[in-house]
Amino acid sequence: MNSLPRLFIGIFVVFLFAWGGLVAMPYLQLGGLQPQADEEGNQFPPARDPLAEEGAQVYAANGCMYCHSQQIRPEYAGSDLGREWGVRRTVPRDYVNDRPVFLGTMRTGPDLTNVGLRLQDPLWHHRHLYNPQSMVNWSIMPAFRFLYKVQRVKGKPHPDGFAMVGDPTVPEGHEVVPTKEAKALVAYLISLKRDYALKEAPVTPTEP
Amino acid sequence: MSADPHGHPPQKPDLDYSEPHDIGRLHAAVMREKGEPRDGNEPLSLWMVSFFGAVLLIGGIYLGLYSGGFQPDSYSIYDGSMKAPGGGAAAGQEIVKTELTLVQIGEKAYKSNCAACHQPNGMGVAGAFPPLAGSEWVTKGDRRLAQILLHGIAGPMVVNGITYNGVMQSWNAWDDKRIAGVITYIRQAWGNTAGPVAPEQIAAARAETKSRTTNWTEAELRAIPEDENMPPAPGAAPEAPPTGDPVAAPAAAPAA
Repeated sequence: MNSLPRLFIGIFVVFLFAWGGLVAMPYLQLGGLQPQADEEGNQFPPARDPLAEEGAQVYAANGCMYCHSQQIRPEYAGSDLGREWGVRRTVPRDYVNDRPVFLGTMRTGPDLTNVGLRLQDPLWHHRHLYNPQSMVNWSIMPAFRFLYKVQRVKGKPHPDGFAMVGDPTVPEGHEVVPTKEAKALVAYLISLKRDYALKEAPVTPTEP
Repeated sequence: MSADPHGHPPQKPDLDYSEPHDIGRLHAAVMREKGEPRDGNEPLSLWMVSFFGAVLLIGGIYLGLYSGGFQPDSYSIYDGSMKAPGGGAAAGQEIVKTELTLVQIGEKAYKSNCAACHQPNGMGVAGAFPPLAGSEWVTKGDRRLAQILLHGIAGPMVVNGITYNGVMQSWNAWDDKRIAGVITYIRQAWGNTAGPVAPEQIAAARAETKSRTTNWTEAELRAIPEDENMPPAPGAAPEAPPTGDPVAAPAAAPAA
C-alpha cells in the first residue's frame, strides 16, 4: 500500500486547485480594489456620511439582510434591470466601502441596492418602518416599532415627529418620533444609490 | 501420527474434511484469467479516456466563451469573446423588445416608482402623501404637473383642500418619453380624464427650467395658472398614444 501518500497528495491538489480558483485568484484580482475617482476628484462609490454608516450597523443588527438583497444581477441572469431595480448591474467595486457587505441571499422583500433612488423621502421610510402595511397594504414585512417612540403631542409637535392617521397603535393626539437608530437606518437606506458609472460598469441611457 | 488402519489419508483435526487439498490447483485457471486486484499503473479503458476528454473539451469551450476573459472587471460574461460591454444581448440572441405605448411606459414607471407613496390606486396616504386620482394638480393644466415631475416639490401643499407636508423628489434623470408616459398615465387612470402629454412637450418644459436645481414650493407653482397647458408639440403630436381612449383625441388642442 505505498500509494497512500499519492492518494492524499491527489486530494490535496484537487482542493488546492479549487482554493486557488475560488479564493486566491479573486483575492489577487480584486483584493486591492479602490473607489474610482473622476476628473473632479469625486469618489465612486461615494463615501457614506457618519449617520448613514451608523445606519448600516442598525441594518445589520435588525437582520434586514435576511429578506433584502443588495445586488443587481446582469441582464443575462435575471430580470432585475427589467424590474427597474437598477440602471446597471452591480460590480465588486460598488461594495468597497461596505463592512460587512450586505449582498444577501433572499429576496423575501425587494432588492435595496437602489432604494435611495426610488424612495428619497425620509417620511416614507419612517412610516414604512413603523408600519409597513400603511404604505404597501400587501406587505409582509414586520413592523420595526421599537425603533420609534409614540408620545403625546405637548404644545408644538416634535420636529422629527409624524402622525399616523388611522394606525391603532398611535392614539389620538399622539405622534411617532424616530429614535437615533431609526434616523440612522433611514439615512443609510436613502444613501443606497448605485447609479453612478464605473469604468467596468457603464450606465447606458435607459430605454423604456 | 500413525497411518489409519482403514487406508484413509492422514487428516488434520480442524480442517473441513469436505474440502479437497488441491484447491489452489483447481482454481488456477480462474486465477490466471482474473487476477487479484493489486497496486500499479493500469491502462485506462478507451471509453473513459474519450468520455472525460469530451467533458474537458466541452467545458473548456464553454469557459472560453462565457468566462468574460477571466477578467475581474468584465461587465458581462459575453465580454471579450462575443460582444462589447454594455451591449446586453448575447451574439446570435436578438432580444425582442416589444414597443410599449406611452401609457404603458407610464404605467410601468408609475408602478415601480410612484406607487410607493401615491399608492397603486392613486389615492395617496391620508395625512402623508397626496392623492393623484381626482387631484386638481393632476387633472387640470399639465404645465404645473410637468414641472413637479421635473423638479419635485417640497414643503406644505394643499391638494383638494387638505394640506400635505412632505418632499417629492425630482425625476429629472428620466428621459422625456418616460416623464410624458407617467403624466399621461396618471391623467387618464382612476377615472381621471385629462389629455395626454407628448415627449416633445416635456423636452421643451425641461429646457425652460434647465437651470433649476432645487425643488419647487407650492407658492412658486401656484404662479403658473391652474389650467395652463404646455404648448403643443411641433408637428401636431406625432407620437399621440394609440390608447383608443376618447380623451386622447384633443392631444394637440391649443393651450387654454
